[in-house]
Amino acid sequence: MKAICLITALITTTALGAAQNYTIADFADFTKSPTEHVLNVVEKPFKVRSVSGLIEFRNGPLEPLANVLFEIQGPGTDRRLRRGTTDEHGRFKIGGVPVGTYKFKATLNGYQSSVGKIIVSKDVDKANTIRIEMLIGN
Amino acid sequence: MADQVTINPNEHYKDSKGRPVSESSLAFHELAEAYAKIDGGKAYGDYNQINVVSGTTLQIGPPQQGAHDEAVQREFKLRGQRPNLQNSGRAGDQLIRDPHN
Repeated sequence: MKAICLITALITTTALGAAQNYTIADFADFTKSPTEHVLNVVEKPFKVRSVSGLIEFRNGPLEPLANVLFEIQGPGTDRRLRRGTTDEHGRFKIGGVPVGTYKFKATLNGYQSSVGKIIVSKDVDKANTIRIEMLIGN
Repeated sequence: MADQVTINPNEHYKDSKGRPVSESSLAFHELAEAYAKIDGGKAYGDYNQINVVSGTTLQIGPPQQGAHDEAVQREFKLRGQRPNLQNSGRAGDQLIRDPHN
């Protein structure tokens, strides 16, 4: 049941908002891991009430990924960065994030980084969450 | 040491200058990187050589170029010999994979 709810929330969050084209320069202020080579764009923005979620990688089945640095920049053109790190269950949370639109980047040495957009809004189901699958670097 | 190179023709990348990266550029970079790993025995990233100086005393040597950076140098060499490549994306650069590009 929990898995069904999570999948539903994922579909909800990824179905909202328009897709956007990015360049490397859009993420110049974010942390770059020593072996980072590729940024993967998460196609659709996440629309959430608060900034928290789950980061996993595929090793056969999906497994939680610890120590991932999750950064957001915003709202809008504000260049302030806020950070969180995933725990041993792959979960992260950044508290006190005001309503608005943010860029995000998830980074871990040895993995391809994931980037995209988060829309923080009060008009969103509380169950909506951020879920990212990281790819092993090359 | 072994390595494997695969190129997905359905994925598209741009480099840090926003230039599209061709499949041939990706193939050149990845093969050069694999060569550095297999023939050169190098790790992906840059590293420091560790030397045994006497008995159990270890000395950290100067930084060594990893397989990725060695492949980057080969790319620069190729591009120097092929001026027509100057305006195309460079696969060894930091890349962004965007489903809409």
